[in-house]
Amino acid sequence: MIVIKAGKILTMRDPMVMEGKYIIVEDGIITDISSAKPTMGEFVDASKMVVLPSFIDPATALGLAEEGAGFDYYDADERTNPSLPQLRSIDAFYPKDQGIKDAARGGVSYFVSSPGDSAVFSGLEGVFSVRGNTADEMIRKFPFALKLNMNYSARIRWRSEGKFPSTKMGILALIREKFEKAKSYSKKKEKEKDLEMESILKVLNREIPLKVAVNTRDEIEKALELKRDYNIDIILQEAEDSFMLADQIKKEDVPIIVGPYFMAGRMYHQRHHYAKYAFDLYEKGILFSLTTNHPQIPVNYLYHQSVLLVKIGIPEIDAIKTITINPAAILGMDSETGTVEKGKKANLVFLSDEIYTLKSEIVGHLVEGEWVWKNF
Amino acid sequence: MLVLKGGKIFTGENYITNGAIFIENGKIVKVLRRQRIPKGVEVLDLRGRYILPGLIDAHTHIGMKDEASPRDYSDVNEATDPATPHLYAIDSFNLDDPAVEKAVASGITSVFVTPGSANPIGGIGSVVKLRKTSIREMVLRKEAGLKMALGENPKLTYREKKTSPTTRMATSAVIREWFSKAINYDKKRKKERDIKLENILKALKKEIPCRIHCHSVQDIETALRLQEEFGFEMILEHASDAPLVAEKLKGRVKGVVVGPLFGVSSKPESKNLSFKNPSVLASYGIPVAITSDHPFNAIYYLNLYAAMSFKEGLDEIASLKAITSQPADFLGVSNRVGYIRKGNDADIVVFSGHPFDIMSKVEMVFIDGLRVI
Repeated sequence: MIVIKAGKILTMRDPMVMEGKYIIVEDGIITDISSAKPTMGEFVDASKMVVLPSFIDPATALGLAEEGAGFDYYDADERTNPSLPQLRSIDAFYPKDQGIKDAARGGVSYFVSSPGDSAVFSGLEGVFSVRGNTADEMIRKFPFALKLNMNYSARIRWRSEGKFPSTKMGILALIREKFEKAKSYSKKKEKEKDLEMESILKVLNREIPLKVAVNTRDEIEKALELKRDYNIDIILQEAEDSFMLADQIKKEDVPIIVGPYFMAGRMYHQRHHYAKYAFDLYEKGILFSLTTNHPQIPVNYLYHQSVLLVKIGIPEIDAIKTITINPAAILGMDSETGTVEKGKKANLVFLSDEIYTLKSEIVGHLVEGEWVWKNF
Repeated sequence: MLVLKGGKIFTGENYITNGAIFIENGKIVKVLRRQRIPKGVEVLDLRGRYILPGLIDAHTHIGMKDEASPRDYSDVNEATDPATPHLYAIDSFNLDDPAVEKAVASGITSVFVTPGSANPIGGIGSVVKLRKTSIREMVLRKEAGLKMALGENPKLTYREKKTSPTTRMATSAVIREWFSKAINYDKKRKKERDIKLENILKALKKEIPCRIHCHSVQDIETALRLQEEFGFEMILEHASDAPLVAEKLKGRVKGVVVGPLFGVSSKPESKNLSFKNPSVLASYGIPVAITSDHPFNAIYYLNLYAAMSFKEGLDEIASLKAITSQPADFLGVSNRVGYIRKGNDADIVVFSGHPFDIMSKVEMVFIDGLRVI
């Protein structure tokens, strides 16, 4: 049992702020938040600190592209076929990637490892914890989603190879063709197992969502069209132009993963890649979360990146939500993490001072009741 | 209720002078030859103006290559596979292309958006209204034609890749192979859904016409030959040499979409493309629409391409039809656009003078009864 005396808790639920409370952790779970100090257990004095839920990055290549190992060890993107929904990111997951240690120090407890952005159907994503020594110990949800790339980078990849699909219309045709094929496949009584179809069927049967990388307004509209036509769940990623369709996205209840904003939008299709456009999403009440898209920017800067949202006028607590409870909800894991709350996993970040102050440091990180980083 | 009165109204068929157009809920509810207007309604006096159905361009790639974007942002041609009937041009359509607003400012209210001509079987084209809302709402007819291509473009595209087709023979072989497959597919009782063959069947069952890109006389004859074998409806696109075989085309084609005419021939097979072609074809009774083939010619000068055809002998009414009612007929949307008549959408353009007068300006544009210019 761990007993944490917290100066201030930012719960990310009602009541938002708690002061002078004790957080009781048993078997990795927050078993109580009480005013009375228990008499037993390992005592942690965080009475000068701010405690908040651990951060979650819903789009990274952690474990798939080992830092510093070069392209021979790069397993984050299979660039040989536009339709590879059967690929499983867990099969390439290297648990000792330096980035995962950085994530732990940066307050990121859970992250999604995504199988790439070249293939149109690039494979199955998984949710991993920074705690553990092997992929099997670290996996928390598999598969979490099927990754679909309808964006510029996918079509330019296949165009450069002279292969189908090299245009927006080609990508849509490929998607519909595979979806229809999967529907036929599911109806067949006697069939040989087809792994490609099995993966797509998980989406069509709504067992998992389709995570769709898009850039421009028309691509976003097409993603929403797929959602309606096939009655599936989708999550939008990148989606620089999503502010233009904020009403519709809200109406259709589609979550969005935005960022990374420390990265400049250098290409034509990224001309709306600015944090300021996230304000419209916030104003409309759309469920959205931030990502570093590690290694695009290092995963440990997820928290720092959220300050950009504060600078465009989003209240501090709501900015914190975009890296805690919002991604937890997008991952379908908000019943177990994303808030500081009795019954949830003890995934806690310890800040030395108030949030969003320059001198405030992440001095401790408890994941599932175990210290993955402690410097106080 | 809004009434446009006076001026010279071109209905899509003929002129009405000093009449009145009644607009309500986005539709034209009445067209009068006199100006008997009840009191209390909003009236726009258009004395001295020319009032036309919103112009329609029968063949464009607008939105498929955003004007402001770098070169590699073109999504016009899926030049990777010669048979792509399952493609929809509308899936490459980006309404943020600045050309959309420029086109509207020039009086164009509907367009046919089609895949390019790299593939013998290129995909499905859609009719799109240019009132910028969302792509879904802008689509007037999603399946309006199956784009196909003969001649230099497919063979040069695939010669570069060293795959078939590299000759005209192989181009028509691709078409025959896929059309035959579709016929077999149609006969099968138990089948898995094949969205490529389904789209070809739409053409074979005459639900949509084949829109066949061709220039030279041998390609036009090949189109006729394929039509005889498979019995589809067809409209020829560009068809530079069509005047040479006009007699043969009569009754066989739904019509010819001529253009882009403003500029030099970009290749040997199009050397006979001329502003005279519309008048020659019309003299054989072949319906003609005039196109910009945007972005090959700019869509915003569509009225001037018709004016040049008028200058070269196409009569005035036929020249006006070529950018209004004729494209609407070709696209199967004449119950909605292309005409100023009761029941049609209130898509209307008002020119300050004759639309073929170079000094005339577009003063007003209405789409669905809403004034957008």
